[in-house]
Amino acid sequence: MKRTLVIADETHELEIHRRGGKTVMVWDGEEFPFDILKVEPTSYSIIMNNHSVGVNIDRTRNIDPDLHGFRASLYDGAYDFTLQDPHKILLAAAMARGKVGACGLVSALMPGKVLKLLVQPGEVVEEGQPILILEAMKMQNEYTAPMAGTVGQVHAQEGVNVEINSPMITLVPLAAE
Amino acid sequence: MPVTKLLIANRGDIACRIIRTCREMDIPTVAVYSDSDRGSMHVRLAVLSYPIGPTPSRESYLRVDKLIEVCKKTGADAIHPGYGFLSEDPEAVRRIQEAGLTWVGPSAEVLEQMNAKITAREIAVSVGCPVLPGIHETLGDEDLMTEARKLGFPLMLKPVAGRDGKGMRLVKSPGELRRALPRVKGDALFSFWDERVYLEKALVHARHIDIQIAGDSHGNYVYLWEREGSVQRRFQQVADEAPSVSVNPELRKAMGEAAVAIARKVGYVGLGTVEFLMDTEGGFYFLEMTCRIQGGHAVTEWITGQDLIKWQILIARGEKLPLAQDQIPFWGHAIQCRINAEDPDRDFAPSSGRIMYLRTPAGHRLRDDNGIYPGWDLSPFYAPLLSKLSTWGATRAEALERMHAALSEYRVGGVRNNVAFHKALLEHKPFLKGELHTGMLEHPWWKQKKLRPNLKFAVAAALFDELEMEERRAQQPARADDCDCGAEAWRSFGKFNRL
Repeated sequence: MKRTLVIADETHELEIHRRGGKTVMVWDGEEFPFDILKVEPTSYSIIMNNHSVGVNIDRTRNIDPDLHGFRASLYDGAYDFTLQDPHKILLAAAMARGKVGACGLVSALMPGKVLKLLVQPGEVVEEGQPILILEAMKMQNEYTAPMAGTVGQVHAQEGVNVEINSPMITLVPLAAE
Repeated sequence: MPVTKLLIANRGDIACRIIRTCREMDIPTVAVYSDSDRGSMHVRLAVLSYPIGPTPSRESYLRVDKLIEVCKKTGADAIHPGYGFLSEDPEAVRRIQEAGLTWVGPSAEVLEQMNAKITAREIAVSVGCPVLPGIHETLGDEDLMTEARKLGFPLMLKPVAGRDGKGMRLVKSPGELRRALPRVKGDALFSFWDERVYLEKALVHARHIDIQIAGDSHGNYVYLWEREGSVQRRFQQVADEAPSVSVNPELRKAMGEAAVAIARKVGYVGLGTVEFLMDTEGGFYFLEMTCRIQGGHAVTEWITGQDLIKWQILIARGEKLPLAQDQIPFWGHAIQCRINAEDPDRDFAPSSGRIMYLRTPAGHRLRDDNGIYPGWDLSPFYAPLLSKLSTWGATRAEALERMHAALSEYRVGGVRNNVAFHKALLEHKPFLKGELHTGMLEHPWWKQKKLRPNLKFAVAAALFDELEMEERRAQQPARADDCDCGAEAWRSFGKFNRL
């Protein structure tokens, strides 16, 4: 199974498969075999290279089912990232414009209601251009494009409530095209 | 006054804390709960439990009539308010006492004097306790601006009826004051039904020092040393420690005696905290008095070996204080971290949801006061406190090391929380050196740390979770809704529980 890992501004290509009782993760082409045991409903015990680490997994709820958001809690803190199915991303990008690139994800900073969507998939936007209005804490918050690019997917819907960190709009940066 | 069966007019961690002491003292407990708190830990721990209304606290935990009714029904003869809710409401105290019940806390008269911040300040002045210069007359906005200019900035703008740091605002210039006035007044009117405000000189790099005091109905008073609560966000403490590194024995005695003098002046009976601000030269100034048990009480319990809830109950019964001033122990150092469901990376915005996973640390000389369990739904209607974790050490360094280790074990899943923030605090050099001040969280230094040394473990677990889900889907193509397998597990757990 393949996934694309997106964490902050990094992306990595991953693969996972089971091989003779062992699980192997392939990280940008390099193999990492590990032993994994589910110890509680959302909690795993991992032994990788004889290092024992407990990881608790939270799936962060997303409106877009193709963006699998995770928060993993370990002894040294929490890691937020998404795992995306590369096939589906490819498909979505093709539908939007035809090319794949690093995604500029605009997500909700506060829980609220999407009042107005100002852009449509495929539309070209300037950096700083208003793209969406979110009503949160009884205020209307304008979200602007973080960079120039093309609107990829629009995950949000007008009049629908979003939770904190919910992805709302994916931008394909100009540089990636 | 009797306390033979105690009703706890509170919820969460503090209700659990009180129930545990009552068990030791063999006092049966009565819990009350709102609609969304049926499964709450305090309801599960208490001997008797009564529903008292809908989720909003105005319709449940603040309904004095219902609390009295439950007391009559169950034969409870005393009410412990915990903190927050009714704990500092003189009107509630009057009605409860008129119903013939014992109130575990100071009298309505004392609460009235201390709630009026300007009266409280006058009391402090009358016993010779230093206060910060300020403007306390209720003036029109223009007159207030003129007086503020004379006093000089920065200033702290506070609601007269405020408490717990709510509605306070730091203003650094006349322009900021002008902009802040309508907002602070609006907030004060909304929260306290009183729009009067006052101004006090603000101290930059100040420390927040609390003196724990106790007084009985026989005129005895003691102080149980200090707590430092300088690590604050939105004027609310997130970490407490005792003793304070900045308080030497002479200062401790001076502050303790000032606090006791204030309590004695108003005839304070019960457990209370006199709050001070301390400047960099060791000058201290009366801020306000908190007339209830405080969230930071555990660190005082660690260094004195006392059970402060037990003290409250003994005092309410009319007994004498268990110890005289020269008998109060002073052992080592303790620190407490308040584990909140909030996101330190987003200005500490509160979070709610289901606790999907919980692992609390165990070990030598640590204590976790919580009121939660895995599968519990955290309501957005109440304070987002999950637990208060405290450790003790022979020295400050040892207490801090122990806390750091304990936090590594603390794991909360399902809701955003500040465990990682506390760990970063315990690695923050100024904090380790004891250089604390109330503005130390103004700049989000804890966001800097982004090394991600264990990313491969984190990702491996998530990737494996994805793989299992994909395999399950392949086996059962008809079921499209099992994407949240953890939530599903707890949902069926809840169902099983209700059978």
